[in-house]
Amino acid sequence: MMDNMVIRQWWNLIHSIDKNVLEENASSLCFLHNSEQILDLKPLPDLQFPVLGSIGLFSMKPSFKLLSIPEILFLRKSVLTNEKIPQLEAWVEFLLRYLEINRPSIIKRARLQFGSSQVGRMALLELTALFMDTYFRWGDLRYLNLVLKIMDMPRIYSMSSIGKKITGQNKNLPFLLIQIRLMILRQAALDGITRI
Amino acid sequence: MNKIAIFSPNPFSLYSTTVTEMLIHRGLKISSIYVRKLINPGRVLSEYRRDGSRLLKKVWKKLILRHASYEKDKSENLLAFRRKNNISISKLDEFHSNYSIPVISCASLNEIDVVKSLQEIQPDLVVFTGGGLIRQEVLSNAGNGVLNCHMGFLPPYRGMDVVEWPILEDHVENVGITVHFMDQGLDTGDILRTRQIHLKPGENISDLRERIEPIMCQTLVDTSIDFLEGRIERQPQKKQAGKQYFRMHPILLNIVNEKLKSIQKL
Repeated sequence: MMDNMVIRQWWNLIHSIDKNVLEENASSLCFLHNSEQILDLKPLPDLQFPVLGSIGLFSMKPSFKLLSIPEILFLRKSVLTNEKIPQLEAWVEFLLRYLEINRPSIIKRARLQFGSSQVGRMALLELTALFMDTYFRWGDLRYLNLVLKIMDMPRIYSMSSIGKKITGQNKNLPFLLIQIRLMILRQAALDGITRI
Repeated sequence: MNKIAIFSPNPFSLYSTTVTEMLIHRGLKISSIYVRKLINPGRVLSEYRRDGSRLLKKVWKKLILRHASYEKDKSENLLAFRRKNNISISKLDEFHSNYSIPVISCASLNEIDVVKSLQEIQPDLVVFTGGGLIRQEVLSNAGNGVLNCHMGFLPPYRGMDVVEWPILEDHVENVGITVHFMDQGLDTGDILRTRQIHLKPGENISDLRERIEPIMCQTLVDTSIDFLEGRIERQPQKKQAGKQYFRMHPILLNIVNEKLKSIQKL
């Protein structure tokens, strides 16, 4: 597992990125669930989760085929804003089961569903972020369990030589930031559980 | 006399042989035993996808070491339980040679041949000792149903690793077992009996699981007989009363073992 010192170094690199670039990637960086305090990280400037239009997701039966990245962000925001409505619970529970059962083939499924490997990988990272946020908001350890399994899949979550890549100019910055957020939250979640 | 059929996950299951021989000792008629074939590429692949590297440990313990995987001097594991109950059979096909019970080998317990055979023998009850999910066509030809002993407390803990999950969630009062009928859902069928398992000092998760195995054998046999003799009734489960759990990640499994140590210090 990543050392807290390395996390702090990367976090400092994120601080040096232009605020407008950070704003563009706000969904990957805001709502850190108190992990800045747990891991002693300097807070970022106030970032707002993107404003999302109303999507008729909750009127539909949960299905992986209905998802696109805006829909996943919509689900994430609903969880983050503490909306515990039955349709949201049904959707998140459905996605938990879907990814648990189809984990061995999920990369292929995501590529077919989202049109390319890159978008498929980002969608899976966003789904992982959704499960992580669900764990922090609802306290259901099944979601953290799935996050840990996905973060063991190097074709989805890969942190090799990441320190050199954290600059505002990097085209892959959205991938790096969402993964750094996942790494920080994983560390904070496990610190939290073992402390109890 | 009531007729019972047995479903077994493989020809060498000590759990299956123990339950089956205990039922015979208690005077029940076993009409047929259905055993899943061990060598089946589809099965190996699906179990590997589900269990990952844990499948190798399972194969090593259950199929290669078998009796040798249990500590001989322990008083509360399956080996000690078998000794205490004079269980001598350790391979399913010995039931054919010793008791003339048909032992039917199949790739899947959902095969059409299994359905046809059940229709022929018309069992009062099928006792499930492992072998995967059972489809409706089999369930509806199983007399009163297919009875399973789930290594977890129902309805709250459905699915997998449900000995570990309540410990991780600080609900140790929910470590237990449940005898229930199988239905098309996952661990959602009618409950016949639940039994709480209390943690013991010095136990790790592997010790705890070993201690639960003989309790499951005894409870499954007692409950089958009590049900057939009309002493207990089905209690339907509320579908919303439980969650489905999945294989636990090794990091969380380590936390469970740490929690077990700290629980016992209190």
